[in-house]
Amino acid sequence: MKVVITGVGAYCALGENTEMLWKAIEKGQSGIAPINHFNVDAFDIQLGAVISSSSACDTDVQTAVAYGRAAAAEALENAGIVDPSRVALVLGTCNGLGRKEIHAISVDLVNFLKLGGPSITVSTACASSTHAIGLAVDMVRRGVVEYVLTGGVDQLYPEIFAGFHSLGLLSKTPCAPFSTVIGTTLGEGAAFLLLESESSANARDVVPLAECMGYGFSADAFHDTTPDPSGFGIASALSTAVADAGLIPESIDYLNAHGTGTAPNDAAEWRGIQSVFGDYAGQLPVSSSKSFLGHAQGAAGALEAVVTLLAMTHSVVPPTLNFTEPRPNSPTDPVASGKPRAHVTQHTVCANAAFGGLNAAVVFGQPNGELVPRRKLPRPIGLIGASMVKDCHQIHQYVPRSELRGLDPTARFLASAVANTLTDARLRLRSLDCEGIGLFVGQNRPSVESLQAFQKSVEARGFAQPSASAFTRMACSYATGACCRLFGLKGPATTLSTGPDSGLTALVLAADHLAWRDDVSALLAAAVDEPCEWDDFDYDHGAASVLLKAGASDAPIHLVSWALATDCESAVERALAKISRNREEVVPIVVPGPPTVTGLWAVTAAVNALKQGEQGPFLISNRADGAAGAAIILQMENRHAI
Amino acid sequence: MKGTEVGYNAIRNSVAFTEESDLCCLQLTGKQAFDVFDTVCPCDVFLQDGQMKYTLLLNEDGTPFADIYVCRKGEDAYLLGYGPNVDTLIDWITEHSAENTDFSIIDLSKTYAPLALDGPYAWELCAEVLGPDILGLPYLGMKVSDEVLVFRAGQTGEYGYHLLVPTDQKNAWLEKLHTAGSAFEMAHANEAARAQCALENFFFDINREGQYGLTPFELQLQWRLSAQKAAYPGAEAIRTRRQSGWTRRLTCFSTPDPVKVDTAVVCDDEVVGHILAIGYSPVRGDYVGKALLRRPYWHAGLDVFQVQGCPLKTLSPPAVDNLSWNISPYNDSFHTREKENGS
Repeated sequence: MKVVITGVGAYCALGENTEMLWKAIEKGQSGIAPINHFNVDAFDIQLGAVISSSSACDTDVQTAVAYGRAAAAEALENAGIVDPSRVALVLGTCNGLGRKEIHAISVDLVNFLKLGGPSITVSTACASSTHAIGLAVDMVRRGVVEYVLTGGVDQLYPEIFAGFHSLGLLSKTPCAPFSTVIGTTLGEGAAFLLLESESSANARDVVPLAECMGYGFSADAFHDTTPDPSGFGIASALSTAVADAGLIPESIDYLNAHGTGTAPNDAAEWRGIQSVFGDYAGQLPVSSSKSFLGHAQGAAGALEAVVTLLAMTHSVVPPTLNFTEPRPNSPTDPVASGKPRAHVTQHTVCANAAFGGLNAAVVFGQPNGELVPRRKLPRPIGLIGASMVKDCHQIHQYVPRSELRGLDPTARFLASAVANTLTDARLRLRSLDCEGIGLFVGQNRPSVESLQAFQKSVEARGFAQPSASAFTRMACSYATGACCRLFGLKGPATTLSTGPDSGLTALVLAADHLAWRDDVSALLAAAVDEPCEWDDFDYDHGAASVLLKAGASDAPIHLVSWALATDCESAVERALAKISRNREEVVPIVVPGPPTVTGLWAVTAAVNALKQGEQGPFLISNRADGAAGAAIILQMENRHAI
Repeated sequence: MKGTEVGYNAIRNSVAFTEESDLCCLQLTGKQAFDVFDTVCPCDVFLQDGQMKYTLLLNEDGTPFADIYVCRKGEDAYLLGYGPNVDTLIDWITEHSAENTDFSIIDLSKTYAPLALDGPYAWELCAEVLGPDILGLPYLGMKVSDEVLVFRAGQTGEYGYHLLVPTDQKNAWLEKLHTAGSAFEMAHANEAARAQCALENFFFDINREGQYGLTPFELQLQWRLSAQKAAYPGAEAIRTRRQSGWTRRLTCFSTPDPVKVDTAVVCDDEVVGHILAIGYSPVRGDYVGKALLRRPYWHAGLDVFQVQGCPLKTLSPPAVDNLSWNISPYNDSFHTREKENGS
């Protein structure tokens, strides 16, 4: 099945829609200017690519929501979608609405746009919307829904500006990725793509803008903020994306790089590009749209994808603005110009990398490309390890205290569960076996302790000198990145939320990824919750994880079916239908939730019951009022094909 | 002396080359390779792929037996060490790892020749001869490049790389380094030149202050030990010393005049310690060294001491501004250094 893009929408510093965005790029007009919508007097750097004023923000909704509504509505209109009830949402955001509940912004968009499909929020810092696009592609491929609206939203909050400033990552002049000016410029905005199958587009008589051919995720397992300087992580995401698209590196005509402008990112990224493209890297145009748009955080990937798609339709490649002299070991062809360069592209790739070393890349092709043959049958999935923890100090059994310095409770809970699970599967931590494993985490919000630590540092020292370490932990994906680093997990990794019961959704998406893709042979699905004083109810907190292995025919427990749907009833029906069972033949467990971790606690309880001789099979599903319905079926042996 | 001066200047300003005859290089293979490290090392051996860590091997009395780095590359463990010779080191590890059976120790000195490049532009020369990937190698990182094992871990305060080149390719690599190095004004650094640079940065020298029977606490090397780890050779002595505390420690100092090692350090006519190491610092124009001072005189920044009638001032190391602090592989180059300095 081909997944095509039939609509795009954008709202950013270059304009309130894609037409304005493209006109600005054609003119070589940058969106970077002095920030005037919050006070930056305390900082020695005062630039940003911010949205100065807009019609969308004249309402009483929060600014980020306004950005999202405007861009999403444009994408739907652009695609000619008249019935949004069959549209799912996969949104990438770093900050959500102030980070307390990362999924809240998706809830607003679903309600405002009257979307009827499941909604998932991905929060992997600066790679959020690229991860979102990747997951959305698979939702269309799997037939979960007919249409998926995917993209990213982020607003430049004063706290974010202060955090980046405290890390010393901002440039005093407009950022010039790969050039001698070192540092990035922050931005904001929203962008969306409407994905559907080619047959769906044909049936609607809609001409696609492009095909979304493939994607790749990876983890650096290196550092909380610095990318692996060898470029291994970004190279892994790029090569996986190119392979998923059925292409060879030499068939890529243009690469829209993450290109933040910071010294560690740009150097590592170019090394990664060189290792994937070899000598061909010298001929490949590699530019960074952040020189126009600033670094729009979680929306960056989607905005850069829209720029790339518009460039493809105009037969040009976008330039890197502000480029003067090249840095040592930077792209041979950074498209150093003030204007787009005429260049027909059949295939393009966009790459993004996040704090914690979570990387993602997506490949786009012209819509006239050949159909890429894909796996016809899913791989069977064995469950080879499981663990639940309610005490985050369990991590001390596995990791020296010196390595745990700075880890917040969310990361400690998650690391405890992951270490227990890997040990349960008889894997040595940090061994080569771990290197190929990925991690999908369901998480509703960042660590409350880290949010408070950052706030306290602002109160104590002012906005100009907040805690840089607390800032890096404020990303929702911090715990995921920390686990990858602690245990050497370099497979696909992401952090997602469907609200309070995200754990089961993470498990379903991990199972789907593992069954249908060949880029990884084992995936951890996990969920984590940290105690929070602003919750209005009491419940246990902790983490849980399971280790899934593809093709593990000798595994004692099998995940024989799984399904994601708009609501839990539909998910249950789909999961049962896949293995031709009815409700009377399974033992149902409905996850009471919240918290987020409850779903995976139920799964680990079912695993223990099966190990102790209970018959099963167990059908575990989430609550009826979630943003997405998720259901899985576990049994002792793989008696039924999926 | 002339050779030392040339080597010192190369380390401080360009690139210096050394054949490291005193460096022991071991590779441990097998399922228990890291268990062996865990058994013998007083630190937490929790290494990422390609990561190195400074630590020590300790005698039962808690004094250093060897000054080592441990490193992980994939499933293999590497140990680079100073102090004992390679046979003694292998025997010591084997003797102290009796409960681990699934491992073997390979003496890399039989198949590899250890070379070192140190200096503010060592990274640039390395990149030229080994490829640009070397630029991404972080401090205390290891990688294999073109059959050469590269360990980034200098002890001079400047960028430093230990290169293990296959013995049968040693001459070819030497020629390659010297050919490329001429454009960097590369010079040979002898042990005295490297030792002086190490002294200016308060790096531990097991053949110097390591011979005084001091524990890691007195040597200010407690950061190389885990505070939680309970079992390793010397653990009992370390635990006892932690409980009893210590009353003296090494402190960095400077003095305008040459004084001899073992000379008493005096404060108000009272002997408060002794000189353990001293050397002339061309960058500073005076002498820097390490003195073993007792509490409460062991702090940096005190200008109250005399040694053989000369004033002695304690310092917070490093005693010099290493040029490498201001050199970035991202935007500097040896070839444009004068332009960058504005001269």
